[in-house]
Amino acid sequence: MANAFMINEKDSIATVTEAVGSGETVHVAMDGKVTDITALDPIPKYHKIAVCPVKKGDNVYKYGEVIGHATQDIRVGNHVHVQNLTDKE
Amino acid sequence: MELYGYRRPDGRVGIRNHVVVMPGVLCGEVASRKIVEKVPGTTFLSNPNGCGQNHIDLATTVDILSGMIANGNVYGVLVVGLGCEFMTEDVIKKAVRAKTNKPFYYLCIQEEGGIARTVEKGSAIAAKMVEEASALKKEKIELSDLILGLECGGSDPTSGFSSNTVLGKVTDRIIEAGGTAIMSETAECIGAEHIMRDRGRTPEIGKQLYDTILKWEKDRLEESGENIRDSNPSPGNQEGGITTLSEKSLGCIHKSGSHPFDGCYEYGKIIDEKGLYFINASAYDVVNTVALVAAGSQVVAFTTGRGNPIGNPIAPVVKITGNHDAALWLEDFIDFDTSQTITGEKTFAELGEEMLEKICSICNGEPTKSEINGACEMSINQDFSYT
Repeated sequence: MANAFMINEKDSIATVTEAVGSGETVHVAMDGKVTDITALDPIPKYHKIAVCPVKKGDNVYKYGEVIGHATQDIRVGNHVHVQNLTDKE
Repeated sequence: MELYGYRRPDGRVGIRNHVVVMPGVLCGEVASRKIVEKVPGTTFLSNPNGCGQNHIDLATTVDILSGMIANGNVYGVLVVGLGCEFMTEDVIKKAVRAKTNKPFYYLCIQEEGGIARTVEKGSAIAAKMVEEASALKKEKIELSDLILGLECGGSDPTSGFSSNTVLGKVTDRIIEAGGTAIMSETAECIGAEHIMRDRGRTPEIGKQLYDTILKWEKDRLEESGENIRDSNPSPGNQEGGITTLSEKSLGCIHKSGSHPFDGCYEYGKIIDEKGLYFINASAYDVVNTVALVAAGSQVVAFTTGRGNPIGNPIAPVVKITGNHDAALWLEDFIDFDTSQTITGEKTFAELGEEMLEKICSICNGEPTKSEINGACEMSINQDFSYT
């Protein structure tokens, strides 16, 4: 069963629906289809996991909209939160 | 689903058929309540103000109350004044008549000679209106006749990524069918003002949305020294998984769907145009729900994660949650659960269709939990102290 979901196909992140440990497989649902990725960090429930790589300075998308930019390179499976994402200049 | 409602003489459409009794000032409340108790089929509309206000707050009060009376869900109104208040018969009647030609009656306690005589005369007027209203037959209406109010309160992480996202699909369907949806809660757009600017139908509307949100933020800073941006997202929000203010605000505005905004209006404005509109109103749940109904919403979709039982005297308020635990624990005031988008059992589009069906059924008469509970809170925004 899926334990993460994307809201919009443009999104760079998915939201996990249960806490995930580093190295665990995350099943990401998007419009009824499920894709597997591997978590590179521990990810708390309802936090974000990267589903595509984002270069430092590039925009991060959720809801199909920009929610900020990456403050460091983000790899697929990284926890996306205050340590690598901001919307401040 | 086929929809049935009431076509009013002023051209508006209702999904309920309220005969309203409203005090012209809070001092007229006892007589108004007694009339409602005596005459089955009447609806009490509480008026917390009507006196002791400066002209700005009084004008806002009159705009909101006349808007609620003009709402398509109302057949007619009896206003019960006291006799010495600021909101005189002339003031409220003029405001109502500027919006609608529906039945309007006025009594005042000092002239009628006390509570008992006011209640006796008022009950006869109310009973006559109930008889007339009951004789009306529902007619077929269309999705394009609907005006959906959008509200979120008592939010939790699921509000943004589940219930508001599903509600956005419903909003899209109503707009695509040629109907109307209204969003407000200016404070909850702070941090997403650039996104709202891009969602204006024209650059002018986009700029209006942008300026309205920034002005709200600036006014609050001047009033109390509170910088909303400094405390947002809060440590609790961040712990819950929200990283940036844009992300938090996007979670809120996502309930407005994906279409452009056709206009941006001030608090107290009634909206008679089709499309997606923004009203500049407080994010306080009761004030905002009232603002949406005064703007014309016949039904309000209210998303909540932690749960809020409020309703409205004029419009059914549909409680929607993405938090499955809340749906079970607060079962006596939650109407719809969207948590299957989180478990992956259903897509946003599928649940959007189900939510639209639910809202249509409520429009056709299925009572919401807020109606069953008799929730009918009223609050009107005040900028100044009572005089």
